[in-house]
Amino acid sequence: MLTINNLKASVEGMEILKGISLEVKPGEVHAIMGPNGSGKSTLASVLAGREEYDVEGGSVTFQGQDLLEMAPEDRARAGIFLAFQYPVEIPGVSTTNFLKAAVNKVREYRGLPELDAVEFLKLMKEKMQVVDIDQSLLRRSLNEGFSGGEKKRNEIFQMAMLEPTLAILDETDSGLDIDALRIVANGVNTLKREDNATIVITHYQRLLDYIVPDYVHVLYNGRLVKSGTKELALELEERGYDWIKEEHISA
Amino acid sequence: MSEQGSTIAEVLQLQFADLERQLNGSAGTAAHAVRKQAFARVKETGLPTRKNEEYKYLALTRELEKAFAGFVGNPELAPADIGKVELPGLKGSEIVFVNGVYNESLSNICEQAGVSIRINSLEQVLPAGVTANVNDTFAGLNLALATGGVSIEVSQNTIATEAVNIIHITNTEKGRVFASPRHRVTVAENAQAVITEVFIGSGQHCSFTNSVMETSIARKGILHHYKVGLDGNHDMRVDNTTCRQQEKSVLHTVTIGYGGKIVRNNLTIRLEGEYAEANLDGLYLPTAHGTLDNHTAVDHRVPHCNSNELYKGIIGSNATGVFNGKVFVREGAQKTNAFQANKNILLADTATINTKPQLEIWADDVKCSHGCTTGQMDKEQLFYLRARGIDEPSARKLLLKAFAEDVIKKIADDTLRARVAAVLEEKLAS
Repeated sequence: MLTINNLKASVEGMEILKGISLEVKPGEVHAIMGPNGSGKSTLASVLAGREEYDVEGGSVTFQGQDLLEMAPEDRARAGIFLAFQYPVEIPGVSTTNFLKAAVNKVREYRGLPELDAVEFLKLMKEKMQVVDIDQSLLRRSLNEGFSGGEKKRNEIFQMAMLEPTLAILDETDSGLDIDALRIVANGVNTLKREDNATIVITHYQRLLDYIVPDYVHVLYNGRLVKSGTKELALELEERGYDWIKEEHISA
Repeated sequence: MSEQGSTIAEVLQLQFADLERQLNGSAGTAAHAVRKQAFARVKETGLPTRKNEEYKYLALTRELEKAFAGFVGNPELAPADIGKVELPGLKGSEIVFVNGVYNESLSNICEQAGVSIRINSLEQVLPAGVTANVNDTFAGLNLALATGGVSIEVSQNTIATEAVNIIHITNTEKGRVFASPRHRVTVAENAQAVITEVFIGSGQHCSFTNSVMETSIARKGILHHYKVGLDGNHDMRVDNTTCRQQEKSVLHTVTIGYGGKIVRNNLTIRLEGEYAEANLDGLYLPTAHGTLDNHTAVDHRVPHCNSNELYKGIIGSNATGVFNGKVFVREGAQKTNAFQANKNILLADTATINTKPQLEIWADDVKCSHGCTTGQMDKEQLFYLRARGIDEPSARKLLLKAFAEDVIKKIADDTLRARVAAVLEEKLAS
């Protein structure tokens, strides 16, 4: 589904990603862990198409398409979803309104008919249950005055509405208390299917108690320095990141 | 209409002479004296150049010089030309002026007891006291040259159920147009009214509309006043709107500017009775090479009054926006609450905004604030929307509509609000 090959990227002339390769297949959950400043969010941003990042080398293929050549909106329409670490507030635009536009743009791309107001509302009601989000919240300005937990729940709600092929969760656990974490994780698990995949980017192992990964990768200093299964996450939880750094330096 | 003037001063002199000739029996009346006096003042001061602080950002007089050299008078319009006029389709009375002249066949007046609507009653209205901002030379010029207008009075305890829409059509297909409409709205004690003014322009020649709207609200009266500028690309306009408010009166006024070559709105509000409230909002989207200038002044003369002001501008291409917001809190006007905000989005490097809040406070127990922001479109917001599958042009439009909505939602009249929103949509699409 997704093939990243020797991806190098920089921001403002500083090299952040120094050659990343990763293969994600349908039905898989990959966790990318790493200390602060290792390039985790940069990877998410580059995959979603954030323009401040310059791709210096390598390739990314998503379902046979050259992802790096696509505009952010086309990536979203093709089935990539980024759950933002810091969802932006947009005064005056309600979640309901903007999602209606988004859902229909995505449907148009996939050759599906546009949803009318009634159908859209029905879909919304169904998906609201995934993350137990209240309708009154969705009528308000997008993320404006939302708590941290509400913002993250709104991200997963949007994911449920857009039904992506590949979801990238960028530090979705940051700033969440344990109850919110459970609700968010439960939402992600509910949306998991044979034909979609998830990349979970996180600093802590905690989220992986709820979203169980098939593979765990450690990102350090712009490179994936270690890969393993969920046991690797537990080891990181126990031993921290220092041994990885040491191992990497001595290697 | 005979001779022609080469400078704007000569043109105005000829206009005034023409007007005096048409006065027939009313020469020598009180109204005539008011006009003569006003014109003498205009002659003395001349039209404001950019050396005048109030017109620093407006090359209006220079443009008028260029546009009106050799002007002899407005063109005759055939009924067929006027018949083509498309009215905005608002609910309530429609009082239509074409090139400054009242047009009875296009107008439609809803009768209601307690609501008096008098057309072209200037000769009675003028001597009854002048409230408009006469310090402004254009307001003075209007006083001298005003030829058409409507006077609306809503009697005590009367709620005017139908909105009164004053529609100014400027049609320059047959030549240059110079118009000086002058209106007055009087809301008596405990009365309520909704007044909308729309300026619509078309044609390839230039025009100058120098309009005045004088309003007053007596004790506990409520006035909703909307001004919508759909001026054409060759239209220039100065509007002086004033409101005098008595005790516990409420004003809601919204000024929308969507077009014109140069449009200047002077809005002057005087809070003369305690516990009065003035809400003034504005939205301006000048056209590619146009200038939209809003000068507001709120004068807190007595204690316990509130004023809330929000003006927003979206300025692209080579357009210019100007905002100047004066708030005066007089000595003794304690417990005043005065809030002002001006927010602008610049869509291009070549777009310009000149913004200046100007608070003068002589009382010490007051709450006053002002804020002013100018920026580009928020990149993070744009990316967020795009990352959800919304293309860049649609995302921009969505964000700009949300930005403007804060002002548009202040229009309480549903039909007008929908119309103003629809025009915004068209403007953002182009």
